[in-house]
Amino acid sequence: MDINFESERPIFLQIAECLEDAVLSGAYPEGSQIPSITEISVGFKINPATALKGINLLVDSGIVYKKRGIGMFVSAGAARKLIQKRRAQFYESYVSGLVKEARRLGLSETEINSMIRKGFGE
Amino acid sequence: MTLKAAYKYQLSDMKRPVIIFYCVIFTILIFLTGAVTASASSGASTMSYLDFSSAIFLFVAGLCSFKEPFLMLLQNGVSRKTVFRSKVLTTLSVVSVMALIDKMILLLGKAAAGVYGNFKYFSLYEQAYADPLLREAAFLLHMKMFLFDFLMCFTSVWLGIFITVLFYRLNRVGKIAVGAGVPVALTFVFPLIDSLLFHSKISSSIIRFLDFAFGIASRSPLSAMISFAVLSAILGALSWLLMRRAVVRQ
Amino acid sequence: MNGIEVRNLSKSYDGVKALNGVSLRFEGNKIYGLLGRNGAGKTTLLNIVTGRIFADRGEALVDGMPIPENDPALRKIYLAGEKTLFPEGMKVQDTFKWSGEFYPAFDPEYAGNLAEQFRLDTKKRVKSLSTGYDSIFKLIIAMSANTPYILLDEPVLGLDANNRDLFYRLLIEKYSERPCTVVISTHLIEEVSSVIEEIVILKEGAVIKNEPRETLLSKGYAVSGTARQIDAYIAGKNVIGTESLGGLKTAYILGGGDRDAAGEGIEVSKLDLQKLFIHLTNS
Repeated sequence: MDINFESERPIFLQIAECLEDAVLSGAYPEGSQIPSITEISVGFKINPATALKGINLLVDSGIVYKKRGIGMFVSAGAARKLIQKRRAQFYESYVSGLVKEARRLGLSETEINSMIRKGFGE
Repeated sequence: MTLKAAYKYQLSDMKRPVIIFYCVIFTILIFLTGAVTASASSGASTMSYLDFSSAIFLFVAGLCSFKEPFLMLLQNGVSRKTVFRSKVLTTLSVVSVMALIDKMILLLGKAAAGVYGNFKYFSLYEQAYADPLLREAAFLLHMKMFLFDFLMCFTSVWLGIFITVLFYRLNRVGKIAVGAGVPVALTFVFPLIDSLLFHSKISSSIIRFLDFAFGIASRSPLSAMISFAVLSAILGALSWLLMRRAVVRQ
Repeated sequence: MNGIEVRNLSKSYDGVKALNGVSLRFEGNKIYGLLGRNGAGKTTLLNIVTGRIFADRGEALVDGMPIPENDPALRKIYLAGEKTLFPEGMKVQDTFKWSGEFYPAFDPEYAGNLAEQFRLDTKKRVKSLSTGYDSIFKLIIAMSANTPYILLDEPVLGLDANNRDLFYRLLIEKYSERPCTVVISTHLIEEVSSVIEEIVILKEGAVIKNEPRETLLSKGYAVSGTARQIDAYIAGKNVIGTESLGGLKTAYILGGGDRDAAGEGIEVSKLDLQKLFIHLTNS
């Protein structure tokens, strides 16, 4: 897991996404404890305030919850919530840009569709 | 609290030189005593002015005791006021201890002189002030000698400190001006001007003043002790004035 | 806790103004980056704040207490400066020991632990340390002293990449577990960028930027395009620098929104902290 410091996306967002990816991939199963703010900030070499901001995003969206004095844990149903969220964002995240670039290059809808079919075939 | 730590540090800094000094002294004493007692000759041998050697040692120690400790204390968040105060405490402690040890060596020396006829042991005090006619009570005499030794050494160490702080504050030009200028002025310029223009009257009045201040002709140790006390106070005050604006050089 | 504050601080050396009426505050358990070109006044500022040199004008305070000649105030700050003030002949383990005497909260176990991690031989004398290890032993003490304010002047001078990496991680860990106010003065801007929260930029003895990192970075962006496009776009904007490569012109801008209104053909990109710094401090 690495942060791209060059990217336009703020670091705390990238942190949140990294952790979300880990939940989705099963690296952090539901109910398990995730690393502390200290461990996260040390691991990514970022200011703890930034790490905290990223974690709070996950807390606000119900992916993760805090148990006082113990740590932070992955909520039940977190994976499902994430999948739903990313499905809803799929169009904006991937399709919109794809179409824009396709238009720029003069690719038709049919050409795009056959490329997609090819992708699913592999 | 900071004062305590600063005092502790400077004291430990002084420890090693003092120990080395006394090792040297003891070695000399033992060697001398051994040589004397072993020799069959009747020639007298004198060991003298130990208190003066302590004063010289302390002068040199004073010369070396500013820069390193000052920087070390600044690194550790000590104010200059506390640096000065702890230095006063340190010098008081070290000088008292050394004066005490010198006293004990003196007593040992006297005892040895009593045993071995051809061995004599004198201190500066005795050479300068002991009035053979005045049989003072032993205790009072020893107290006076201790006090004299203490004040002389205390003045000596502060003379060293004053000079080293002065040089720390001076820039390069100043260092040369003072370092070369003062000795030249004292040994050449002053005597020359004095003898040519004043018929050496200034020199003789200075000598008379020193005689008075240190009670040499009058054999009065009290004058000397007062002079030492005043001198060390002045040197201390000047050192403080110089120290309070001392900075870390870039 | 109201921080280290300097008001209208001025200092000159040989007629050159190293600091010119600087007013600042370091507070609130944050990590500050003190940035500036060589000679901008960073070291002078840190030295005045710790009583090592005297300001010509102005005042410096810690938690409301004036700094010069004030032991309780000085006790709250630890400066690992560029110049090593420890006696040359002292062994590293003794520098730790004495630091413990002067700073009651000093953690000797932690210091020993750090020395091991950096592979520092604590029996070595200060004078025999290389530049890198000289920096290392000083930063170990700074991190172990547990003062509420820690000032680090070029802490990674001479450190290899591995040790620099270790240092940043240790700093973050320590700061996370025991919040304090840290000020890092460094030339390695990109390395330190993600660690710091607040940025102070000094230029020729004056403060030109003093704001949170996020805020400053969000204001900076670069636009690239043909010279005509760019010139049209940048009219009325706060341009801090431009570059031309043949027909391609790039302008660096510090400003609010409307970067989306750049229009077709103009490429907008983010400005990283180092680029931002370079253009802000180029005369």
